[in-house]
Amino acid sequence: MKYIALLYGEPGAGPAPGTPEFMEMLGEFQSATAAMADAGVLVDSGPLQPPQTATTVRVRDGETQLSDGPFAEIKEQLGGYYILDCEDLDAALRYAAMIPSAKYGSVEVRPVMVMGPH
Amino acid sequence: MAKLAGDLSLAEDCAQEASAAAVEQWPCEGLPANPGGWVVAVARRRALDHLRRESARAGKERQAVQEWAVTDPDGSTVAGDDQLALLFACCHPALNPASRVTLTLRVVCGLPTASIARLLLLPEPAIAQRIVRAKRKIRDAGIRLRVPDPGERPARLASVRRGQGPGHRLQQLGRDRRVCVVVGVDRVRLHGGFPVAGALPPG
Repeated sequence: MKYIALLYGEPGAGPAPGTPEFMEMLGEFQSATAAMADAGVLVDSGPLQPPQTATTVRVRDGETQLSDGPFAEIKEQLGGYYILDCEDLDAALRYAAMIPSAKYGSVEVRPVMVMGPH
Repeated sequence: MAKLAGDLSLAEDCAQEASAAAVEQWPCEGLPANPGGWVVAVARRRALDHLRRESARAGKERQAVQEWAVTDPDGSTVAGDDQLALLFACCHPALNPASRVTLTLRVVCGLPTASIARLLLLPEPAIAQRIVRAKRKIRDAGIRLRVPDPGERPARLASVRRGQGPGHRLQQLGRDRRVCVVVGVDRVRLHGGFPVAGALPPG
């Protein structure tokens, strides 16, 4: 079963870039990712550029409308994701807890819907 | 049953169908040697038929067939770990505490929706909605119906306890069941030598 782990954090939460704590956090990300890859559950993962780089697309009455910025202005920003293929929710939650974002912000785990054949 | 089906609603439907089949067949063919096992075996067969039809739900059938293979031929493995697995699923920490107690009363203790509504002092539609949502989450989020591994048990038992919640004056619900939920004293007693009984702290 596939799950997406969405990594949220407030801007400035967690260690500042350039500090030893920041390097430590990067190390924790690497070891969490390596543990998922070794267990064969990692499908994909990646950090995201900040919300200011986002462009939101809407199509209304056949016309494409673009707006600068994220869909919703919220305090906690989406900063990255992991896609995992796990046997059940418990396994996905265990891996999610290994991601440093769970410590400095939160990780939302959502099952990916299985679509039937068309 | 629910473990096999991975879906509480499907399990309930199949159990009902099997009971209906028993009412039809037993008066003509006589009581089987193991009536409980007979009903479970028929219900399992119904569930497997359904799962085969639903083969779009990837991997489910394979899992179901594997579970089927480890069941006793007379289908007599109905109590014990299966009921515990149900209890742990109903009280999974990914469900909110209100849903945990509601679903446990419904699925583990077998109380009808109307009785749960009276016990929890809530309107019946709210309880029905809560049950539907919780079952849907168990199915769609991939909450497995299983007894947690020893390492996970302390945390999961805490979640079971929180799921029961204090303040409800329910005494020894399901007294005749192997899993005896005592809600009023804010704890769950697991009777009958279950493997997790040793993991429960004293008191």
